[in-house]
Amino acid sequence: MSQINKYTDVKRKAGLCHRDISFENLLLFGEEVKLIDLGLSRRIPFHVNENGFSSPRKVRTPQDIFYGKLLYAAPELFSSTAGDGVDLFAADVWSVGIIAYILLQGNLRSFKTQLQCNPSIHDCDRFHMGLRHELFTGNFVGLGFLRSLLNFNPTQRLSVNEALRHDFLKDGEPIKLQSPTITFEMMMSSS
Amino acid sequence: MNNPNRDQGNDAAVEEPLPLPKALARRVSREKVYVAIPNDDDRNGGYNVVLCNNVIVPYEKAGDDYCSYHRLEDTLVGDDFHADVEDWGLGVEKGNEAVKCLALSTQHPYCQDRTADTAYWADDLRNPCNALYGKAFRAWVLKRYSRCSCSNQTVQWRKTERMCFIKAVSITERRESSRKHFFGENPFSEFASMQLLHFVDDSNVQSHRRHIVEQYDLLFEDETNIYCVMPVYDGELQEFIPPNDKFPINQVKTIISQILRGLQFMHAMVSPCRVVQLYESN
Repeated sequence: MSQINKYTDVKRKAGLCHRDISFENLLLFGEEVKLIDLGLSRRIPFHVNENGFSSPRKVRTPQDIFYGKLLYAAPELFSSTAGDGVDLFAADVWSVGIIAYILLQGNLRSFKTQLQCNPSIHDCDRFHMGLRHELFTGNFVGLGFLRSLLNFNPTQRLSVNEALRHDFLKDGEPIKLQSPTITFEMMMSSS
Repeated sequence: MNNPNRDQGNDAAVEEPLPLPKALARRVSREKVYVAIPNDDDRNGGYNVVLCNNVIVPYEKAGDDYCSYHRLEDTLVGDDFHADVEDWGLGVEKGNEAVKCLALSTQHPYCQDRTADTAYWADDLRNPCNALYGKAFRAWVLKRYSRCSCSNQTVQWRKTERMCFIKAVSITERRESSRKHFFGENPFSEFASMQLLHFVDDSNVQSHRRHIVEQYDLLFEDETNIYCVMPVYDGELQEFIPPNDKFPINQVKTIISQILRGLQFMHAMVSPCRVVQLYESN
C-alpha cells in the first residue's frame, strides 16, 4: 500500500491515438459500432502550457508517423518533414472524415476496389486532389461537416469533441442493418 | 466493459461440471495477468509501473516518451529483448526487474493457489484460423465450479452460454518479425492499449468505451504464446452495405458519431494517477 501511495503523486497525462481507422477495422455488435485493431495505436503525451491548456505532443519519429492504410491517411503525413512533427489525433479525425465521405457519397464498393489495388503514395496524391475538388464543388448532404473533418490544414480541422457537437450529427437514428451471413473465417480475416 | 470476471451472475450454468483435459486445464488455470503501462511524459523523471494481479509493481525509471508498449515485450522475453531496446534508442537500466514482475504475476498475492475463477475452453483446437503472428479459435467461457481455492482437490469448471474467441500470438514469431519489419503492427501494443483503456477511469467518457474493442483477458500460460480473449462480434461494418450501396443518412450520422465517441474515449487524457486510485478504492 505504501508503494501505491507513492505513485499517486505522479501526474501524467496522455491520450491514445488509433492510427489505423478504416472500414476494415469497424465491427458491428448489435446496434453499436466498435473500433478494433489497436496494433498501431500510440500513447501520446500532452503538453500543458503556461495558461493551463493542454495539447498533444507532435510526433516526429518515422515509425510513429507511419500509418496503417494509405487512402485513410491524412495529407500532412506525406508532406511532413521530421522537424515539423505531426498531430496524430488530427490525423485520426481525417480518417473518420474519409469514412464519413464514403458513407455519405455511397461509393463504398468502388472505394474497396481502390483499396484492394494496393495504392501507392502517388495514388493517394491523386485521391486527395480529387477529394479537394469534390469538397469545393460538390453538392450533397453533410458537405459542410465533411469540409470541417477533411480540412487539409490539420490545425483548422475539427477535433473529436468539436465534431461530436456539430449540428449535422444531431438527429441520428439507431443502426438497423440487415445481418449478412457471418462466418468465423470472415471475422478472422480482419485480424 | 463486459468482463466475464465481473458479471458472473449473468452466466447461467447450462451443463454439469466439466472436467477439462489435463493439458488444457494447465493452460487455462493460472491467474490472469494485467501488464499495464502507465508511462510518463517527462524524459528525465517518473516511473513505469506494472500491474500484476491487481498489485502495482514499479519496475524502472522511464526512459523515453511513448515507449511504454514496447516495455511489454521487455516484460515477456527478458534479456533477449535488450538488443531490440537498444534498436529503439531507449535506455533500460534495470531490465531484469521486469522479468521478476512476470514471475510475480503467476502467483495469487493472497494465497498459493494459482487458479482463476474464469477459464476458457477451446473445444476445437484442430481447426484454428490464421491471425497476425499466430492462431485464433473460438472458445467457451467457463466458471470455476469448486469453490475452495486453497484445497488440493481437482478444480472443476462449469460451462456457461457465453462464447469468446482467443487469439494466440506467438512470442517467437513476433520477435522474429519485429527484427525484420520495423514499422509493422504490434499485437503486444494492441493488448497493452486495450488494457490501458480498460483501466481508464474518466466519468465524462466512460460510456463511450463500448465503442472500442474489449479484451476479456490476457493470459500468459506458456512460454511460447500469449492468449488474448475477446468477445465474438456480429461482423465487419462493410459486410452490411445495403444493396444500393448507400446507408440511410440518419444511420450514417449514428455510425459516424459512434466512431467519434470511441475515438473521443481513446483521445481523452489518460492519467496513471487514476489507475492507481482505482486500485486504492478496491
